[in-house]
Amino acid sequence: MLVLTRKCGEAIRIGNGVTVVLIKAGRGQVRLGIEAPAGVPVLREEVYARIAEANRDAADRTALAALAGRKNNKQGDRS
Amino acid sequence: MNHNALVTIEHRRIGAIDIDDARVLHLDGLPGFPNARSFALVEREDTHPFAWLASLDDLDLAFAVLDPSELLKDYVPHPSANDLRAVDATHPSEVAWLVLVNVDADGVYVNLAAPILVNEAKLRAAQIVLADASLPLRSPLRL
Repeated sequence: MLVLTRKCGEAIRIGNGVTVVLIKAGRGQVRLGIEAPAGVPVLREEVYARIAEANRDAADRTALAALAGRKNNKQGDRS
Repeated sequence: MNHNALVTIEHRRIGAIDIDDARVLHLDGLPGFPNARSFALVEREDTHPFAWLASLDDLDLAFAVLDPSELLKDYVPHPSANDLRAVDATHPSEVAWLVLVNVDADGVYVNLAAPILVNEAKLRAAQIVLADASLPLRSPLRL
């Protein structure tokens, strides 16, 4: 991992489109400003991790048979 | 370039699917699956109203999806200007939502926190994390 030291008001550019500005540094936390091109999502890591886990869970568990079978059962119940 | 070639692919998760190469969605930013970018949106009569986003990069990967306008009529997220730009759209009328479906032993759940925004005309899609933090990642679906 690249590690850089920045002062308040200084920035880092990532590629041509992303700028991260250190706005304020306090005890145990910093405030960052992020500029990214339109359409590039910027998420807190823990939010990204929760969505990724939900996606993996949905992909792993949801089998074709589970949904096809469900409808067949429902039709069976009605008849 | 032929944009209407019909190819049949044996997808290991959902079986044989006909892929019209003009109907392949390009999906940017699906957390957890950074390398899966091309998806076929597959409607299957036997699983209606659930459809499938079948990865064409990984034939073991498919997501069940639901058009919320069918079963979740109160769920009408408003796409931000940035959300629209993520799928190359400029107006909400150009896009539609799909929610990801998760089936497990005790029921069917839908992800209302991070739905998929689809621009059919441009064949672009993106998973959008909605600003409303009260929306659940796992909401039970009553069928």
